[in-house]
Amino acid sequence: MKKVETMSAHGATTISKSWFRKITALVMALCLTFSYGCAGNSQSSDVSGSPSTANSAAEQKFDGKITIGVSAGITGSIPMAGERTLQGVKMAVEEINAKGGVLGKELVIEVADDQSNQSVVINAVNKLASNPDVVAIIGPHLSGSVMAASDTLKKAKVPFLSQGTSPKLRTIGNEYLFKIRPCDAISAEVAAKYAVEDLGAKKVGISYNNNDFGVGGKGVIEAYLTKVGVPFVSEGHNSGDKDLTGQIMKLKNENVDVVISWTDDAESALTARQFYELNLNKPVITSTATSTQQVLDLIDEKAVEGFYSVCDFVITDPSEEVQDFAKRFKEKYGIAPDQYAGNNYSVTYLIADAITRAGKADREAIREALASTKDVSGLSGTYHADSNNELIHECKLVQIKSKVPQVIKTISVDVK
Amino acid sequence: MKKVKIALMALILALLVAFPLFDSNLYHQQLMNQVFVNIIVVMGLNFITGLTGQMNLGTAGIFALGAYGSALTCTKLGTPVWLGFPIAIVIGFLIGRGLGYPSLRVKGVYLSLTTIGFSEVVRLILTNAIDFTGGSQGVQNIPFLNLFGFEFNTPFKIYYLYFALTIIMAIAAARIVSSKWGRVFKAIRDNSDAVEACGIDVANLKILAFTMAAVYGCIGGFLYTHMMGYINPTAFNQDLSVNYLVMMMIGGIGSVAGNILGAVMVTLLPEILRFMQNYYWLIFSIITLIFAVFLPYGIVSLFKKSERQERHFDIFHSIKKAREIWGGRIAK
Repeated sequence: MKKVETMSAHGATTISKSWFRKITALVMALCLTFSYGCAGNSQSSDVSGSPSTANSAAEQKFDGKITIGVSAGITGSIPMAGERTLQGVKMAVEEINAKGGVLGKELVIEVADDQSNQSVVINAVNKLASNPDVVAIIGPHLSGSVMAASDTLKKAKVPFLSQGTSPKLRTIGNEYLFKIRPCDAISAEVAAKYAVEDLGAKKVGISYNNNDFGVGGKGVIEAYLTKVGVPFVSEGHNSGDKDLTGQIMKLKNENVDVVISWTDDAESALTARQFYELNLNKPVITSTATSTQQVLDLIDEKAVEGFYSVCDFVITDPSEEVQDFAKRFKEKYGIAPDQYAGNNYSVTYLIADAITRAGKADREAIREALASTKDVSGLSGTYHADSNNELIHECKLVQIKSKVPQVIKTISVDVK
Repeated sequence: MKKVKIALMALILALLVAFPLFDSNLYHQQLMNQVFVNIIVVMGLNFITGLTGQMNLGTAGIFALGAYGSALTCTKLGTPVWLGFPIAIVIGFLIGRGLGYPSLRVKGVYLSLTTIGFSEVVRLILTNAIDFTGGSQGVQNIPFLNLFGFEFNTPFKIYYLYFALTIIMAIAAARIVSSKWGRVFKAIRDNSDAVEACGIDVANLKILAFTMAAVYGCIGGFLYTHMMGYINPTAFNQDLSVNYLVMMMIGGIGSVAGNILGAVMVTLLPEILRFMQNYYWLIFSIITLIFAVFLPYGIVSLFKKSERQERHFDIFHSIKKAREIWGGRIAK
């Protein structure tokens, strides 16, 4: 009864409100129908989104299509990496198609944003794997994402090529996972070795990120230093930290000779800046991040001068292939490529090569072809699959001079 | 009207039961399983934030503790997997008690900050207690759930288990919302002084609401962890808490049906919008914004009488009802 009374008391407002509501409901219903309707066509829009079909004349000479999935963090915590990945892959796909495709078929890509978040990664790779046309997947990038996606892709039997470098990926026993960058166990050991042998460190400071990547690298460095009997101090920080004064002051007070910094992009920039501000004045060897353009852009020239960085792909690499790629990439997108662009560009070629070697676009056949990869050249070295499905066994040591990474030497590790 | 409602409900249930039989796409099944987990967590959040009006931004922490509690006990101690369920409830109970007490002293923004603090502390502990939690490398090889030797190891099997659990928990939640507890919760949101003046122990009920939110959240975490098989702390960040809040806001605050709608929409919409490639997250955010502006009481308010009238009606009604139930007892 009470309800009725209240209703009549506000009768006038109720009517106008209910009109408003109905219109809102209608608009939203339309919105949803529209999105559902378009979702039904997603297959075709995915394909037309790929660069290859833009050239309709070229399309006619192909006999069918081969689809490669790309799982990249286009939104989320490292969107730049996702964008470069896509640009690199698209560029390679265009070139391959211009040369006649693979096995006479047109190469196309299907992209899924994984937001660099493990819950979303599962959805992204599930979506790609559930499409029977997808024969191989490039990505996901982060080691944590790879761990999350590993089981799904193993069950679906899709070969996937990841940039994840965590040594822990060696232990998950997934024969469908291929690693296209040197494992951190390799690059971290290269850093530690250089500190001791070339820079003559008597005491090493380690500044590491408390994530998968940082902790993994720290473990390798500590193991090496223990083995050669050089004392060390380790100081960790968390992703997203904005101040490292405490950690750096500790390293300073411990009088370390050389600092090895093993962390991600944003934290690398912060570390470099604060090393300079707090006047650390010691040689610094860092993980790949410092040699990338997006990190160099965040740091003052003085702060990063003379830093060493262990990396696999660097655009100042004097080799002809890299210089040629960098030039074409810059012409196409108006920006210098980074390791995500370079590595994924190379990897697209590697997959095309594997499909050609397999002789058919079949998931299992491609996996076998990838696992028997030998001496396929790429931008960051020669691809050569070992028993761990690791494809690259060399790193470059660069020194930053006037914000330009200069290659000092290339260090290869024996293939197991 | 009621018959139509029941018929509609039966139809939806029948469709949901039949869904995995007709759609064998693992991606779709996995998504639905995520929807079920999210529904359970949002129904929990609804008790404390939706009904009692205490802003809780610590859902990620609750969810993470539920997930890690079960994952660590069964991987480290080798206990049966189903034991994670009672463990999740116990953890939820403890968190609820622990978080409930500060909520008696702090209100509004300060309570939000306390709960954010809680979930960040949880995340940082999970990240830094490397020996115990595996740190940022997470917990690997978490077994699937099994009951009497039957292993729920494919999205198809998990679907039916989680579907059944979600229905049970939704019925429980709906019963609680319309029980005397639910009414008192709403009364506390609307005017806690008036409730206190009726002789109702507000402190105890706030803690109760927190406890129920935490228990639901931990059960959600438990289900999540055995569905994923691998967890690491980066997933349990502040975005996750906000996401659950968004689900509740979009679906409808205070109503179980609204929670379900919200969880379904916020989980599925971004996936449906994937065909827009680079723009899908932008479009999703715009749709969310439109909902927030035009339907502040959620999708469910489209099917209800004006929320303003309902609230108006509710304040007095719920206080009166509460007084009848609780006042009688006190008078004795």
